[in-house]
Amino acid sequence: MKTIKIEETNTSPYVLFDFDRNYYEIKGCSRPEDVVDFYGQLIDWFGEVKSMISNELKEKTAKEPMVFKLYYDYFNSSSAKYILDMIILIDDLFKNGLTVKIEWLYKREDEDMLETGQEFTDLIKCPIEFIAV
Amino acid sequence: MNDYKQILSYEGEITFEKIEDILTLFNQRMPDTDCPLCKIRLFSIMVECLENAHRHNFTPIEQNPQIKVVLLHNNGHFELTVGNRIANNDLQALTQRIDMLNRMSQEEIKSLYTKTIRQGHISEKGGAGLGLMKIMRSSREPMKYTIKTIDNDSSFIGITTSITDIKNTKTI
Repeated sequence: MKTIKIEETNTSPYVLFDFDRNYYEIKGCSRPEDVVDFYGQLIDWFGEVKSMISNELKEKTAKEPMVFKLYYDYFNSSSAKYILDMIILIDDLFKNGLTVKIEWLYKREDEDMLETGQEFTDLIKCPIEFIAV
Repeated sequence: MNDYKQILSYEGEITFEKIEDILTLFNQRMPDTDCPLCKIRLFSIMVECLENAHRHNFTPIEQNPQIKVVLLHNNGHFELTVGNRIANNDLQALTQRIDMLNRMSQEEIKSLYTKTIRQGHISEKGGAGLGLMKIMRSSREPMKYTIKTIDNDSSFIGITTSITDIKNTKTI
């Protein structure tokens, strides 16, 4: 399973999707010049995970859940659509029997970022925890 | 208008890299505020306005896309105007959309935003149709616009968005 590691820039976030270490994090600002290209690679990664779902993987995640830490400082409206797509794909893993959780981290003073995360929860079944930083 | 202090102004070429430069200038020049959320919202408005002006710029082949940006501040009230040349064919759809959003409540805009984000797709120009709604959700005040016809094909549109430092106006 391919690990995705992308370094942070002023316009795109740090990404680490490491299946072997069971660590998944996105952190930073998201307004990439080519949003389709940037999030496309992440969306493809979820497709790979989904294709690997087995009873063994379900048992493994039951013991060690897949926790997706999403900590955005800011994202533009074009990124918002893709972030929702990604959250729906995380939810899809959950609906297919994996033990999955989202941690939505936000700056304490940024109540808009909290509200955005809460709006996403209305659309999914997967557990999501809101953490003020 | 005379009481307004200019925080930044820019007139010239617009590129993806230039947006970055303008945002850096914004972060350097924004006055200290008791309301960090106001600054966060203003940054968000700034990004969406600049990206819209870049994305929907009408540019004759021999020229590079141009914009005008002015950010003013007066006693907790910020006013951002971003202007660009736009194709006359696109003008009516844009002004109708602004007029429609100006008539809607925050709840109605939120509901339309959620519906659009669920159904939306990224256009050829890279937009998701959410930008104006995001601006209105951040500013919570109506948008204003002025239009000046340039020629048969294009006009210049300046869109002004306001935001009030909520800490300065909040009744506790």
